[in-house]
Amino acid sequence: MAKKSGSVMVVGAGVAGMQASLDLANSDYNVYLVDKSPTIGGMMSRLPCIGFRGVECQRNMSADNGAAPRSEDSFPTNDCAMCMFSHRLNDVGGHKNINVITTSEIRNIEGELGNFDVTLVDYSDDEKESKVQVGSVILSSGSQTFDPSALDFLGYQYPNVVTGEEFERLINESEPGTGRLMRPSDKQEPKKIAWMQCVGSRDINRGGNGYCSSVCCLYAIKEVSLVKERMGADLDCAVFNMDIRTFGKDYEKFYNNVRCQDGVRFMKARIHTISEDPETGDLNVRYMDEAGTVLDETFSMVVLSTGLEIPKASVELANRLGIELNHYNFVKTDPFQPVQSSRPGIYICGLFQGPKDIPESVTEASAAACLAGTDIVESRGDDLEKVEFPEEIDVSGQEPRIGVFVCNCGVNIGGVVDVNSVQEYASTLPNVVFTDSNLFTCSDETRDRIKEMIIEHKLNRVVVASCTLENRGEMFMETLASCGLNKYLLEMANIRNQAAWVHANAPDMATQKAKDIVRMSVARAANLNPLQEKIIPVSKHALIIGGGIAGMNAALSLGKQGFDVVLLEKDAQLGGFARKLHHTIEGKDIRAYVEELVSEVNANDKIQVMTEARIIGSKGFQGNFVTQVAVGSGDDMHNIEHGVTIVATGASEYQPKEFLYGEDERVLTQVELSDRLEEKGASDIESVVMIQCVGSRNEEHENCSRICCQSAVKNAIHIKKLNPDARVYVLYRDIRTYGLLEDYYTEARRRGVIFIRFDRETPPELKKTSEGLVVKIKDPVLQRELEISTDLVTLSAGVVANDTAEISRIMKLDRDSEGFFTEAHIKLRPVDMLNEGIFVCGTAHGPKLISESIAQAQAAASRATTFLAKDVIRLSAVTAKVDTDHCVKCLTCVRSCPFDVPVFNEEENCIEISETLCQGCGICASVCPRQTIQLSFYEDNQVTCKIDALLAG
Amino acid sequence: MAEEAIKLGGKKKSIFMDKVKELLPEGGNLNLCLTCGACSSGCPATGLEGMDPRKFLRMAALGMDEEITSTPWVWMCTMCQRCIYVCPMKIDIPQLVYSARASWPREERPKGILGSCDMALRNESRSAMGASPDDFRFVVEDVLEQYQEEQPEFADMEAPIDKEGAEFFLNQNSREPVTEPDEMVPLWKVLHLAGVDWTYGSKGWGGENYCMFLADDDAWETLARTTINHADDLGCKTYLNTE
Amino acid sequence: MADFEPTIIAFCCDYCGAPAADLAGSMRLEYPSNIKIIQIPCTGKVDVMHLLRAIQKGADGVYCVGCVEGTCHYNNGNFRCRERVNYVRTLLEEIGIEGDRVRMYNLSSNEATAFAAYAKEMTDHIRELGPNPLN
Repeated sequence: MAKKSGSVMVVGAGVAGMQASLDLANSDYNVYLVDKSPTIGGMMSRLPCIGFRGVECQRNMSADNGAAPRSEDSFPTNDCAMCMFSHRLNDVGGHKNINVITTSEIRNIEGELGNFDVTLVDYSDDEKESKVQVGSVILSSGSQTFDPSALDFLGYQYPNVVTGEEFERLINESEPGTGRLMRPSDKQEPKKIAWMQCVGSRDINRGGNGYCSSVCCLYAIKEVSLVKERMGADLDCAVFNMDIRTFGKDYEKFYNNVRCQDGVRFMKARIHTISEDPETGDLNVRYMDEAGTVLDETFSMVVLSTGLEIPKASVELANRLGIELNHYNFVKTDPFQPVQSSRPGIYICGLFQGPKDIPESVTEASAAACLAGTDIVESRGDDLEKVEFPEEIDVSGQEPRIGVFVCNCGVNIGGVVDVNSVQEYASTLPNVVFTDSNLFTCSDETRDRIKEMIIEHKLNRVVVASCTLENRGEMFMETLASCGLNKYLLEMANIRNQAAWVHANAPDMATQKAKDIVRMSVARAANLNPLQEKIIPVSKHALIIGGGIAGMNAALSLGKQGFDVVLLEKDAQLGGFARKLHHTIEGKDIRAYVEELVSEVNANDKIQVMTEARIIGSKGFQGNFVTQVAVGSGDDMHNIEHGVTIVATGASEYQPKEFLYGEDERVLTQVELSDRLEEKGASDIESVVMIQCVGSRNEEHENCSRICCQSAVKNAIHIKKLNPDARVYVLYRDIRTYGLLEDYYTEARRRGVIFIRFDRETPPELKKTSEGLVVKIKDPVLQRELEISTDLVTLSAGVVANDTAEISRIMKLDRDSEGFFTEAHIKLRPVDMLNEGIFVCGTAHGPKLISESIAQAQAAASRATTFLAKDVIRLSAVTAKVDTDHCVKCLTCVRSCPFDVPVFNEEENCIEISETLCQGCGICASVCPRQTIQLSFYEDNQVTCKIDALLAG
Repeated sequence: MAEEAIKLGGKKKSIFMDKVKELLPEGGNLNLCLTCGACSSGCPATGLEGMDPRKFLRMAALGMDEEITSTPWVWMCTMCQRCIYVCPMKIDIPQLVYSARASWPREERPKGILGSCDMALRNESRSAMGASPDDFRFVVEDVLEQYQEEQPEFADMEAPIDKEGAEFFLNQNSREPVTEPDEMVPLWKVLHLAGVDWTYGSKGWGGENYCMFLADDDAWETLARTTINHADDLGCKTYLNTE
Repeated sequence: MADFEPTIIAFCCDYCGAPAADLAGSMRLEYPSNIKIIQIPCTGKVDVMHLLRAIQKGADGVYCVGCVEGTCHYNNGNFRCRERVNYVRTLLEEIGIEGDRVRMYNLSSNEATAFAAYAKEMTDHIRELGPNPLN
């Protein structure tokens, strides 16, 4: 049996592919990241939200207004997705374990799990083929947007009718500060913009796709928010829709914030035809309002919210690889194995798995990484370049001996800046003992040369005059370390982005500026000191809190990799809320699955299960936690050392106070209805009225509970299957059967389930009469009251977080106002918590389907693996240091740190700034009135020397 | 409208819409309505009789059979199919409307349409205006002669009736020969200049089919078969339907 | 004074200012070469002393480029910087130097166009004000 490869191939370098690659690379696997385009980044890099009015900023804004108190030891950031994403692009591009292969495609994959032979074709090299051996594969090839030309009545041929993607490009190109959006035909500012939802989605007529694309409601709302912010109160925005599907975490709050703005309207209507007034370029839209009146409105622009679909190339790829697709060309997956394709060893994540938004794509990417890595766990680290660093040379006491390496970067720099002149100039600067110029400084050859020169000329500081620190900083730091020089003795002078590229039409100025930049950098280099990174050991144990489907999946995902796991469950048995459920909407047996999981967990000797467990105390930090657990009612106490924590405490069904629940046994929740159907069937049921959004989307609980629409549809279909003559009515506000769930909504209607919409302000009424239960609701289409007599009323009760106040307090975990745990970043870090080394998964994070919980559990395990796979963690040395001798203990730093890191140690009578916890911003250093705090690597003199050097020259 | 509430209750019974579903492939997707209103916003008959396609379908779905089989709105639908063109669920609303028409007792259907259908059944022309084959022949020959004389460039133009073996069989709406015969001529000229081998038929020359509008399937068939059979008897290869 | 070329220092933060500047380069946007960038983790690190020193040593203008308010990676560093910039502006006025030589700009990491626009705006503005009176 051949040894398994230690490499994984990731196909498609969008946000999902990048996440999977980083998780694997950081877990010591070698990664080949392939993309058919010339770049990485995928769709997300083309569509940045540039107005910060996405969900994450709304949440940040409200958090700053004190919505939920932050706890200590968590490091909230207000990053918008773009900042994080740009860093991620650099992380991927510069990671030594990730080989990025662009303009290439997979021709074929032969072999099997553990030993695949992949044939790649490189389009930039005459379609040359090459072979790569990997142990597992992840497909993250993404999607394309639907082309609305097929829907000839929507006016896509007119210049002022654009798709959502095109609209975002238009906003992107507008002049900042002037905030003007210019419409295509005449560059005028639009006064009225209309959005048309569901273009190409939820459509089985004209070349559309029957599923819901899941993202268009949110992106339309984002666009409204962006453009209202830029253009102000005068702009009128109308969103024409059937249902607004803001089912994600905090998306409903965002929707509410946007729709209550002046000049924003959400219209429950779809239109027939868009026509153009050729003289003005304006668009005429005719629609029917709720009351049945046909109205004509003129808009300056129309945005078609087009859906997503799978491109032909992906279908062909799947066929070549023997991967089964469903009828919409998404990869077929089992709900209990959401990221597994039909071919063992090949995993799937992101849009190719099904329509979804960024958080879910990123989550699935980590889940796929977990499984792909586990397949080849015995070969972890095998395919990595072994790097041995020599002992560090002690440069203390030495005069600075600076080497300056000026890069041509091909013609990027050399084509504009006179590199030789810069090199010559550098050699005149103080402390410079060696200069060089190179074609590509980051190439292997040049880096070897740098090493030689460092040794030969006994350089103890290095300035690389090339590109950006984010880009190549880590690489050159490694070059220094590899010849014994402390990596913090490196300074990058960015003469590419800051000179050659931005002054291309003034080469003399560019050259002069390059010299200025180099002069500044040389001055700083002379002031740099070696810094030691804090190395902390990692306890290779995981603590998982919660033994439901999520907790058990996380435990198995880690246990199968050989990590020790302690799984805590507060009840007497494992299984969690799933034990109350019967079948998924696809018909899978949930209880059987839970039993299977429990057996597997019990059989895995790496997993220690503690039931009836309570957390009493916890302290520590990433890699080094100690948690006290009490088991049972007595004094059975355990001290558990662990390197990571996964929170999987679950959620429950809301117990309604509304609609006679609890007063009349004919009023049930959906979970209770499922029970009833299993026990008694439906032959005795004449009619059922279901009421949606009970306990959700209201004052008390603003968010959507996500799963209730599919739950109602599931039970409705079940009833109709058992008893086709039963009358079933679903009373709803928006039907949110997102993604591939839409097919079930269609099926429910096909089976004769009647759906009746109501507004939040005018909910249905339920009355008990002598003849039975009667539900009153106004039918919006007929504008008349309906009185429905019914045997049963079923309430789609929302999802409520379990009571985790204790755990949250003890472990200092953030929760939102609804009691769900807060992730570090809603889009790009959906399973990380703000505390390093702690992860969250399952319904503890927010309402979700079982398949989504499973993916998130595997994702949490993947993220945890990036810690557990290492023996030690190296922290950045850019931390604040306080000179305790001169500190006057004014406590300004303690009050100013955004992360509450500096503490006053009463015993030692001094300020302590933990190296482990400091985030390296330098705010304490700048507020300290006596300047006794310095931020390493950005000490005052290391900054001011640049000012001096610039202005002296 | 302060109407009383619609009561929904009791055992499920077969409603009008169920019967229509049985007739159509895939049930005409009649159950699939999302109440989006795209149909209604494009329907030329929207608002008439306080009705529109969406409302109509909704009433059918709720079992309001009496209302939908008695509203005169069904006779205002032009069967233009603008509704189904944009319907995301491709719901066959025109067929539902047609079936509702067909549920009306024959004598209660709109007088004008009923009269025209019956008229067409009474003559071999299948003309709703009652023009007999002889009337038709007379008018055509008369007008043809007039144009042949007055416009020498069309001296050789033909307007055959019952020419055996002609490639194309052309029908003709009754209105022109009866009230505006000159309006027939432009098409003759086009066919002549294009060198087309065509003919009218003496039987079944009437192009309009009021029995179809009437939703009387048997009568519709009678009208259609008359003209098609005649075209077959003449040995024509292609039927040019000008309606 | 059209023929004087100002020297302007821009303090740019790791998360927004510097990436925007870098992106301006990737996009090949043009802005005046009078701008010289000093990169720090957060504009909250920029000391009043740094701003004053720049003017003292002869810079004609100084500005800080931080994250859009509400999206600072370190929460409130950019707010602090703004306060300090305002403070320095007042101080400079008191000693007879134009306070408007020191400014604060906010943008996000991908607003390269804004970065270039602000760079141009500042350069034009400083050119208008003339050289640093201390020079």
